[in-house]
Amino acid sequence: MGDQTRVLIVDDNENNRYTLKRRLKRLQFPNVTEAEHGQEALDILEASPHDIILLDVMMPVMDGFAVLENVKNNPKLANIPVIMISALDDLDNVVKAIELGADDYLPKPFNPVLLEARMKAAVRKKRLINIETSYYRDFDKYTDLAKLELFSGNLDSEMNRALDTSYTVINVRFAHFQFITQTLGPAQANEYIKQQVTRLKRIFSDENTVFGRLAEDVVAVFNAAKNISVLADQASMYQQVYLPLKESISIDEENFEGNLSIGINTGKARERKPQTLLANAAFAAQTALDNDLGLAFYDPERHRENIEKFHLEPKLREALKNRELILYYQPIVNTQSGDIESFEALLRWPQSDGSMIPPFKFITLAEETGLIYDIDSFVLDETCRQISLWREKYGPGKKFTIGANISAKHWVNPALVEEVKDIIHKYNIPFDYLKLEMTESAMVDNAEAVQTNVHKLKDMGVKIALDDFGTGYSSLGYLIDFPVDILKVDKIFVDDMHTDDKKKQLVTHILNIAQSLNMTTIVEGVELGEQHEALKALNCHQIQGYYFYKPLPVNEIEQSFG
Amino acid sequence: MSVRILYVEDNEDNIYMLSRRLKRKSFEVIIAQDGQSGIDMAHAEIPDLILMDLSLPIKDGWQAIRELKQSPSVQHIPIIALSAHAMDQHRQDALDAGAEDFDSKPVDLTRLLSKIESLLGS
Repeated sequence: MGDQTRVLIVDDNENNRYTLKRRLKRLQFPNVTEAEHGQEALDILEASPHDIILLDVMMPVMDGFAVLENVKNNPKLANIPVIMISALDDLDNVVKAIELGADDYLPKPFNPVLLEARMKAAVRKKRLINIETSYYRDFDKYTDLAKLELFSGNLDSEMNRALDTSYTVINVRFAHFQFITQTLGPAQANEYIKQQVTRLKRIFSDENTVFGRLAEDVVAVFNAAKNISVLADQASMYQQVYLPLKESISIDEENFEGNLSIGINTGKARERKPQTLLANAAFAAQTALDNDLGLAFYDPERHRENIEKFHLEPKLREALKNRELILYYQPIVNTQSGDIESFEALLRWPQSDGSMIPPFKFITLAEETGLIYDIDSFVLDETCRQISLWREKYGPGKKFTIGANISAKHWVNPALVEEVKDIIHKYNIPFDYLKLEMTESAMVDNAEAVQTNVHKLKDMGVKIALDDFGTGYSSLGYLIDFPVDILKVDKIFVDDMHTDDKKKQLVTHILNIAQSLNMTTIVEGVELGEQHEALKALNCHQIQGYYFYKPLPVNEIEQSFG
Repeated sequence: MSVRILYVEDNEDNIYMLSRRLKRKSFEVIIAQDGQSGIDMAHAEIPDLILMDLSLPIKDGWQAIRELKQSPSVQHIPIIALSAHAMDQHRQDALDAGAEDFDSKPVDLTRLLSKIESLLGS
């Protein structure tokens, strides 16, 4: 009945082993190994796990209990049925063995009928365990859904059968999973996923739907696109998938609501590998995180950008380390005289082929990775170095300021003031040659910390400029709360102020307000003579724009600034 | 008057969840987020019981327990040490430091409540 079954007999008594082996052979168990004592048994099991163990209790070197404990505590061996061999009258030991996890016992002297019954039971048990083990290798034991490997195998075979049918993968990531695991426990977190799976099955009720639990916190849905009725557009996905899943789930009297993201990708096998479909849906779920709807259809453009950024990051890190980034300076002139009075330092990243990567291509990346702090510090340092060089070259009689852009993240940092102070001391320049530019976005987060920095820097004598005014919140309240020295009016107002009277009115009023708050005004983006003429008539102190100068490298600046 | 528990823990998620659950069971919960603040707050507030996470910044839980148990004004306050590592060594070290009991994280609330009850009952 069990010619494939490997049986291990562990008994110090050679006669017992011999008898057992012969009887097992008669019961069609030819595959028998013998061990003389506990340690030998463990060594044999280590080399090759067996299917059934017959284990004597009393043995020298290592007794049966010790072997039993070792086996049951070893995940690789714990599933092997163990039949204890003991004297008939030794019930205490039998009880103890069963408490330690033994599966059955066989009294000595051996009774062939009893031995056969015990072996049959053990074989059946082992078979059930094997079925269970292989089941849980493929299926998640909490939700009974296919695990990643099986799920993607299903995708493969299904899609390869119909190369021109559109298939959809929906990837749902439940961010609550980690939180619940940590705070309530893994069983509760799995219960949460189980309840969400019940909802998903209700939503995607088509009988051809395939579900999978791809990771602890990820459940995926797969079907031919035509079978998914809710797929029509973002609005119906939101209504019929996101909203029902977002509803609160109660676990241990705690309510968990929302905190999930959904990614969707549709494609044909002829055009897209099933694996790619899966990966794209996962990427879409990730992009859904910064999306008000909580769901996103796969966007190849965004994926490309993401990959590009991924490659750009180490390059940017390297460039920063080697000081390969450089500053261009855009002169800012007196509106009336046209004389250069100040500059804005603008970051450039030269490439080996002579081209330049403009800041908008890498500043977002820098902000996301925290590299922005190092970039800001570089800009600050380089700006102050340039101030000191030009002061030396042109003498202290030639008054100018250079504005350095400081990112919103950095403006919140209390260490900013000390950093600025250190750099100014390092280059031994007067504080009022340095101008720090902030955008309105810096004032929104943690306004108090930013205010403190602004006040301290102003007290030191550093000039503070509010950049891009008019593009963000443009709250007039900010102008009171953040007593900046300089207001820079954004290009959008200037573009057609000479033709659009409303724009002109707006610029006039903004300039008047700034004037009444004792701020110096700079209008950015002046490109035409008409714009310059119009601004001359208004209370505008300085002008920045291509009509006068574009951003230039140091040597070209020096030609016009001498 | 309700029973006051000082919960010393640095993880925001755990603070949020466990203090919510304890408050629902009518305990008053005060929080310290590192070992030193835990010691300071125990002296200032004299809570009825302390739940002490073991891995804490500035001063770890074992050290905090040791200092609390050496201080005459707070050494009577029962301490339950909490650790995400259910290793026997963690438990033993906490008990050696002077904690009255130990529980593993994530917290099984029913079990923790019975430990709290038995410590406060005595």
